Amino acid sequence: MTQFRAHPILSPVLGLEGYYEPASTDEALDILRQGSGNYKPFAGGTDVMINLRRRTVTYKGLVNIKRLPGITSWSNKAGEGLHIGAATPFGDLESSPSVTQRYSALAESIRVIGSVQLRNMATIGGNLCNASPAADSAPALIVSKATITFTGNGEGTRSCLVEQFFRGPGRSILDSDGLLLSLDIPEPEPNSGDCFQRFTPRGALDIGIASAASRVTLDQSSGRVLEAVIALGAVAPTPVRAVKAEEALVGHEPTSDLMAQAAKIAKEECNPISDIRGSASYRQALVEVLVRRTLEQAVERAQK
Amino acid sequence: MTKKRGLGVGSMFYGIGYGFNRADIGSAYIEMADDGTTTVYSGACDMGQGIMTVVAQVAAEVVGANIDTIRVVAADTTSTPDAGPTSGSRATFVQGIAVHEAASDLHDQLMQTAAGMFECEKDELEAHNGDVYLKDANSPIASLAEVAARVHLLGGRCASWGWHDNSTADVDPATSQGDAYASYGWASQLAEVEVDTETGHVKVLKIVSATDAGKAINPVAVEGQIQGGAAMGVGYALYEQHILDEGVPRTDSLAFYLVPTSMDVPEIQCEIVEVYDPKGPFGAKGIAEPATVPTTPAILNAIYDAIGIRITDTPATPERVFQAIQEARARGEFKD
Repeated sequence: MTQFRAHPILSPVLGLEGYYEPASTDEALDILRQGSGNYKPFAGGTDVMINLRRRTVTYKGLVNIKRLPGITSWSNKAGEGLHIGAATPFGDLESSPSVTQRYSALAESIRVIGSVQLRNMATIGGNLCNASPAADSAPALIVSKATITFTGNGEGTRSCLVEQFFRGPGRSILDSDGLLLSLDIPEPEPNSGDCFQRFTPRGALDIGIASAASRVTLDQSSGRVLEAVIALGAVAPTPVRAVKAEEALVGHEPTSDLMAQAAKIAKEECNPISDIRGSASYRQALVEVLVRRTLEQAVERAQK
Repeated sequence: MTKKRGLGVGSMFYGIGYGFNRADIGSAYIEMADDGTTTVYSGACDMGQGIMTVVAQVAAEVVGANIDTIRVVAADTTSTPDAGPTSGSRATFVQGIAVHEAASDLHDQLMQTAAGMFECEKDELEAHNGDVYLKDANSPIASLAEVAARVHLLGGRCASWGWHDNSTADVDPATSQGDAYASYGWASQLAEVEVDTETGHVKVLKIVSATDAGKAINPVAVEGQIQGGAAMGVGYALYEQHILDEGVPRTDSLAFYLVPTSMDVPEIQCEIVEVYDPKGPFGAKGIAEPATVPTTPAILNAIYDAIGIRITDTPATPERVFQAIQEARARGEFKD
């Protein structure tokens, strides 16, 4: 393990006492336990460092997890889907045709995150662990039925669906000594399609006022909806499913009217707050638009 | 269609300088070393708009020096004389004349000395590109550096000072009538927008900006300022707002206070209009505010053209436009 003293100039500014680069998961967990809740794992640092500098949080130590084996790499195996190390930068995924050609919603969500420079630093696991209700990758990962694998947290290594990961703004199921290790995204089913859209005033470098991802699987012979999954961002304390809207679609032919109806249901299902970026009623109006538009895209892709 | 397009025009005139009898002064030192290198000490501050380049160009042109031999020391309170703030589109217009005065006096000194060297009248001489010529002659008789060396050898200063007062008479205090400014800039812009009537989002598709520069001393810099002015205008029209919560700024970082990115600024077609201004250096006047003022009215007029609704608060955020559309729908005045 490599242990450094925090930089003598930065430490008084950031309040840091230690900086660690563990080489194994066990070491990382040991260090996090030693920190008794005051040490923070970090990878790209695009949220952690900003929060530190804005003094919205304080940590005594930073644990850089990028040296953990396999945590910054990803693979795509036929029949298995994507296996992505938690500290894989978005930029690595964005530039791969095997992601962009088959995982449309995920690719669409990655492309709107921050800027090119940020995506070369920011990691997919970090986006989840930061647990922002507006996390761009979350709705796409939820509809993709992605699972995460994590360790620590008082128990051994285990997995859960991404949609079970969030607890509230800035809070996930991970304790202070929990560590997100990887994500698995199953291959898209036949006759399925998905889409992610986010609404921001600005064309780049902006945080979503609302976002939505939709995935639709059609019955090959009848063309009716076998399964629909809709996830919303920035309209509840966590990224959420719009379950009633999904139910309205299943078993029916995906007509424009039906999709518009489902979008209206999703609008009533979400529970946004009013803040500096937008009022609750505006967010609800956006949800209706985004759900309808993503459903239309998803169905079109499923029919191809 | 949920997306509607519209065109809008914004036009303005703008008083160049401070006007209204407010102090509006420019001043500069200029000196030529015995190797012909010219240094201009100019109080005008360059924030990136290019006044240092304009100062060097004016000095080179008037002295007759090669621009590569001009050095500009700018906005340094230990060495440069006061030229007032760079604001009110006044730097080129006011400081340009001060530099012109200083350079013109230095040119006279040099021609006087050259006349002594070549036993002629100084009016028979001219200088350009660093060389001294008998008027209308094809080959130079000396370089400016040789003449400058001569001035230094004779104990001359080879330096000068220029000062320009652009202050105007005030308007009539009883009627507020009068000619408040020394000069006025004129500009028009045309904007094309696309409004998403379901979300209220406005995308600017193209801007054409026609700006009166008097005389473009540096056309590329003028174009840069026109582009920058329009980009800033897009921010004023659509994004920038300072939000306070009981006196505490909520928009306290660039994550919250939005300015346009390269994704939000459209193609900007620049049309430089040149109407000679007798009061400016070589006929030039300032274009800073003129390049940015028309953008917001042009965009808001384009929104009106697209959706038939007047947005009267800036910025025209998506939520404001959405609310306005909703209200018009409720009154039965909006056609989807």
